[in-house]
Amino acid sequence: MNTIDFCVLADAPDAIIRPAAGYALLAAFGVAWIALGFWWGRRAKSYDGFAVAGRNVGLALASATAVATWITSNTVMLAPQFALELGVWGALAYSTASFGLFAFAPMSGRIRRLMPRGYTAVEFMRRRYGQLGGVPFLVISFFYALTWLVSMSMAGGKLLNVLSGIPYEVGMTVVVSVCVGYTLVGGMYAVIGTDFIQSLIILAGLVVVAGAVLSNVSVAEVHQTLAVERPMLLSFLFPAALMALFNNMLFGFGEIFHSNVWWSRAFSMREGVGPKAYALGGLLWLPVPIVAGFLGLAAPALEIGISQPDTAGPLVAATLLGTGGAVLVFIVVFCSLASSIDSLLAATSDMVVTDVVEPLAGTMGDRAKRRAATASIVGLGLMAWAVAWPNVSDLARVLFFAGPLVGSCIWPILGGLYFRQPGPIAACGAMSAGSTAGLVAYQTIGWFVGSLIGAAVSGAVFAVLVWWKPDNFDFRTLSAEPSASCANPKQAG
Amino acid sequence: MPEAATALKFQQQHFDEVSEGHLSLKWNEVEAATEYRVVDERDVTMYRGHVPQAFISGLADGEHRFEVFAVDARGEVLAETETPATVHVQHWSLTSAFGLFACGAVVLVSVLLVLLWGARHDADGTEAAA
Repeated sequence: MNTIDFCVLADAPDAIIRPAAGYALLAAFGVAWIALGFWWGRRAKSYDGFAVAGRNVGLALASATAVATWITSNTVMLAPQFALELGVWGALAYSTASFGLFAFAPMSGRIRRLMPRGYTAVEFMRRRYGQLGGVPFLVISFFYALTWLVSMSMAGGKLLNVLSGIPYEVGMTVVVSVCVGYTLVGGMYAVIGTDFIQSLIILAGLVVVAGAVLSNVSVAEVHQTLAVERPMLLSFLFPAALMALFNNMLFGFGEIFHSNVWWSRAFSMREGVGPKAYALGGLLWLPVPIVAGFLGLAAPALEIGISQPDTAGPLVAATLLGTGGAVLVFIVVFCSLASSIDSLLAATSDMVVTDVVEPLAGTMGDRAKRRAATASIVGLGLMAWAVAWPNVSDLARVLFFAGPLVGSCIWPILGGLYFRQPGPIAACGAMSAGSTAGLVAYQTIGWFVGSLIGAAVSGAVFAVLVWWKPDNFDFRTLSAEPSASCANPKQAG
Repeated sequence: MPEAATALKFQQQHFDEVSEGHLSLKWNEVEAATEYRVVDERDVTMYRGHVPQAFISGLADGEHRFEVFAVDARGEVLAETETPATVHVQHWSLTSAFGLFACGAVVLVSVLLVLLWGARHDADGTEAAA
């Protein structure tokens, strides 16, 4: 889940582990991920193998990749911040991002059946709604993917700096290089394979940290301290938290419904696996932000002074578990970063090849697509590295604007996937009106309403325009070869 | 020790209309201080740490005052703020909050209904064309 503020760590407290230990861990895991990328990447002989892992990923790997990708560094850093700012509601609000995975579960099965040869979400929107729906969606998708990629790269540099004192530029460069390296050699096979191991490490790490917290402080003590010191964190009637609850949930829906990170996995999974894998992934992810959020809520009872709320999780873990805990946090953070950056690189390069290069260059062969994918992964990595290098915090904040934009995509995707009537005008109007209204609400009220307003206005506009100008789309055109219908979607009737 | 080293002052002393109940208090560093303590008007310690910045959250509606003390390794107070930071908390109205809560609930229920409808027709092998 991706939101808010992981960009203010520059003046965070002293490093938690020594730089030498940080470098050793970085080197060990960097070499391990690239070696595993080579190992798994041996199977990526065709473009289908490279981009969608041969469309044959089973349940265990599919569930693990959903969990690992959705646990970003933000989940570890931001869930405690949500809890510290918005209380119990905040922790629950963050965990509702798992509902997006539950909702996407049935959709993934339909996506796989409707587009057995598909590659991207943008491809669906273009073939479903034509350029009128495809172009705005492409813009939103690239905006979201690139800002997420840059902000994750920046978060990597900053978090490794805070945790170990490794200079920002070094940490950021290593994280980006390692992820580009193994995605480049192994494609989706490497991404899903490393995600499996990363998810196990992340979940095991969080269980250890949660156990340490609960052995040091009871839930009753946490409650008692909060009731005295920070009563609103326990209040059922906390206005900002009430507003944030559905906003966060709908931000998660928008992120998952629209992002090619999730669509490319749906295309990668064996037929019938997607619904189970996403539902299981959601179940496994659900407790993670609650555990991480509890770290934030426990900080006052543990008398751990919090200067910056996004450092609460690592500080609490390191304080309770000492050096071992700090090392554990470092590993969990590195795995969380890698599992998100690799997914973004792979999914965004699919978009570049399928939705930009191929429509411009015409039908491409397998080798040409593979070359284009290789170039785009390197290009995306270089772009993220170059933009992240100056460490301008305001750049990472741009990601926050994505909330209203992705919220406005929920209805065009959902309606377009299940109903014949929605047409290009409804899709384009809903995305435009929802994005505009959501951004205005974001600026005038606050971040905690942007996605909600974007989704609500988009839904209303979508319904009115579908009623006013109904279409009659033939879903069978989606299963045709992409070149046959990518420019002019066939309409039935 | 020079005056500048022991004087303690908040960077911002007045916070008006804090609508989400949280804020960051920042103050200058004091030489030889190993810990800072932020205490509210009830004498409850809200922050203990070595960074001259405290994140305070969960404040209820009303006026709150905070003072900060710089403490050395032996626990002796080296300096304290002469002027407390005053914070006026006025949360968003519950009417607005419940309005947006209801709006979110309607959107969520609509999404779920569409998904259920679609999944049902998808499972039937029929197109959800209604």
